[in-house]
Amino acid sequence: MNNRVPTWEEVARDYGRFVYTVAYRLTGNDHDAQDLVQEVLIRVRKGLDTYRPGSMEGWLSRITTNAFLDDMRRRRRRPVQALPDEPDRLLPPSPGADSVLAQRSLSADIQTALIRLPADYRSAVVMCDVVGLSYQEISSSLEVPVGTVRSRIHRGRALLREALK
Amino acid sequence: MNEPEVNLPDVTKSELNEGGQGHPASALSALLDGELTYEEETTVQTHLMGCSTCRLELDDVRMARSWLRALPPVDPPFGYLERLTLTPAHSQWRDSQWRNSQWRRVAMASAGAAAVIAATVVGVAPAQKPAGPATPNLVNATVPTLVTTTLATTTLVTSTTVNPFVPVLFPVNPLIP
Repeated sequence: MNNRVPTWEEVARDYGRFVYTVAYRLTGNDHDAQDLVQEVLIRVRKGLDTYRPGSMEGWLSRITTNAFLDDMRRRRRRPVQALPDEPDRLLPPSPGADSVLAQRSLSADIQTALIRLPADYRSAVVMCDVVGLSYQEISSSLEVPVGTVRSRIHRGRALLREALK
Repeated sequence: MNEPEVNLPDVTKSELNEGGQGHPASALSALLDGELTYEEETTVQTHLMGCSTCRLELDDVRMARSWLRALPPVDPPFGYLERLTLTPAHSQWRDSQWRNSQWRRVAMASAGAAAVIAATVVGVAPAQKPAGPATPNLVNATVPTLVTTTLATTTLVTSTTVNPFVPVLFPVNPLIP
């Protein structure tokens, strides 16, 4: 097992797309996602010395989510952009044209519903369902009790389902 | 027939009281995620057998969960990551260091002092005009010259008699229609 701490450039190169995906799911648009990725990489560079080899995705998603929540707190008074842009960049999962179009449309609808969730619910849902972290990991990342994580995830999913009915 | 009394685990007990309806609520998502203890799971499964409301809610959150988990990765704009590794985060980090550095304060102070000196010199210059007949109207006197002569005459505009506080009129090139 390779326990070497990666360099900043390696993190950016190997996990940039992952960070961008999480950032895009949290922010819902390319411009804010790019800003968030840059902020994350700055924090990564500053904090790389404190990284202990383990789940790089978990570490990065924690940084991404916290940077996102910090930004949301800073600009709480500004409206959130509700529509994702450039849906063409969502990767088609299968070759069938109809299924690709249907998937893109559904993905756009889900993304739209996702960014209408309160930021706390959205963060928990993204960490659970997009990143795949456990409740305990999310609890540690967000510094809230596991019961709160459980509640946010459930309410986030319920609200999202309600929005897409 | 009465339902058997169930000894609820602590977490699920409190959740069964959410909304005062006696439904496990958020334990339903935890059930889907495999985040319940064996005891909790048994309790929730028992509740589900007799509660159509919770079964419907479980279906709803299961659907939402599957949609979210099926969301595809998103590709950043072409070349974005390459640009990031080459410059932006580096330079932003350097910028943040620069913003906070002592050197920046020294440089800003020096620049400020230089600006003050420059402003003083420029402000004094008009008072050092050579004595002579007063120029009645600098702008009006200069413009016809510029319009009617070639580019070579544009040096007239920068002659020592020009007041730096009067906006400079850019010469019109007569060669350009």
